[in-house]
Amino acid sequence: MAGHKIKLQSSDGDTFDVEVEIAKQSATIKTMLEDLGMDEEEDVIPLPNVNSAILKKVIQWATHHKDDPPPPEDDENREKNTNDISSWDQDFLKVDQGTLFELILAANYLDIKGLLDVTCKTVANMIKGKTPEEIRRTFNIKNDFTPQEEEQIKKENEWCEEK
Amino acid sequence: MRPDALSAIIHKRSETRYDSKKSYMDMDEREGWEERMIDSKFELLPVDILFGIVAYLSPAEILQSFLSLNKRFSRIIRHQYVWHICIYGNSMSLSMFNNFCQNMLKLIGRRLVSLRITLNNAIGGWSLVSSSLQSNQTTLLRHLHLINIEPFEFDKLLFLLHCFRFMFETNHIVKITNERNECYHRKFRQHFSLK
Repeated sequence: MAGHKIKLQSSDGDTFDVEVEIAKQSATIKTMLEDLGMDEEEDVIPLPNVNSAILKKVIQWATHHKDDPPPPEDDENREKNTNDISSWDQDFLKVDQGTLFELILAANYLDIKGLLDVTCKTVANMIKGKTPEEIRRTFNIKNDFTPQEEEQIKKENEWCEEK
Repeated sequence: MRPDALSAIIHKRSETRYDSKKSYMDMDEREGWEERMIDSKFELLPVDILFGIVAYLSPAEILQSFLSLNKRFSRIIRHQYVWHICIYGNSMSLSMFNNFCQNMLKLIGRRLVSLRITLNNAIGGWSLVSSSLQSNQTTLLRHLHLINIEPFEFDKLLFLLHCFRFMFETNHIVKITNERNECYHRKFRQHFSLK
C-alpha cells in the first residue's frame, strides 16, 4: 500500500516512521513483516543493534534509493568495480571511519545489499594502492609481526611488485 | 503485534550477524582477541564483511595488503579466505602471467575455488596453470572456465581433468569457450560423457 508506514525503533529507543516500501529494502525487515504479518501502523520493529544516528542515515540512504532496481545477485566470476559509486553515495559516505563501519554493520544486520555493497566498495577504495604500513595508519592497526617475520613475508611477496 | 516473538527473531539475527567474527576464531584466538584492547574498528568487522571488502581487490592487492598487515589478517587470508580468480591473459604481460602461475597459485592454490582464465597471448598458458594446479593440490577447485585454450594444450587439459575426475562426478563446472569455435567444449563434454 503506497505511503503505508511502520515504526522502526533504534537501540537507544528513538522511533522513526518509515514507509513500508522503503523499509522493505532491508531483507531482514521485509522477512519480519511477511512472517509476522505486521501491517498495523502502531507496530514497532525494534532494531537493537542499530543506534539512532546510524538508523537515521540508513533510512536516508534507503529513501534516496527507493526506486532503484533490485541489486544483481552476487556472481563470484563477475569483475567487481569500485569506481562506479554514484556521486550522491560518495557524498553520503563522506563520514568518519567509525560511522562508515557502523553503516556496514547495520547494512549487514538489516541485510540491505545495495548499502552493504557501496560501503564495502568505499572501504576497498581506502585500501587500494596503499602499502601495508599506510593501511595500518589509515585503520589504526597494530603491527604484531617481528622484524624477521615481516622480512620473510616481504620476500614471499616480492613477485607482486614485478610488472 | 507479538513483541516477544519479534524480539527473539531480532536478537537471533543479531547474534548470527554480529558474532560471526567469533565463530571463525579458534579458542586461543578468541581469548586473545577478547583480552587485548583493539583500537581499530576495522579489526572489529566480522570476517564475512571483511571478505566482502576484499572481494573488490585484485588477488595481488589482497596478498600485498593483508599478508603483512598483522598476524590475524595474515592468518585469515592464508587459511580462511577462498579465492575466485579471473585472469585476463590478453591484458597482462607474459611475465606477469608466469608470476601468477608460479607464485600466486603456490600461495593460494589450496584455497582456490573458481578460476577463469583468458589464454590469449599466453603461449603455453594452460600448461603453466595446470602444472601449478597439480603441484599445489588444488582440491577445492570447483569452477574452471578456460577461454581460448590452444589446440595443442587441449590434450593436457584432458589429462589434468582425469586427475580431477571427481569434479565431474559431483556436478562441478568446467567450461571451455573459444572465440573461434565451440568445438573444444563439445569435445570435452563428449570425452567425459557429460550431457
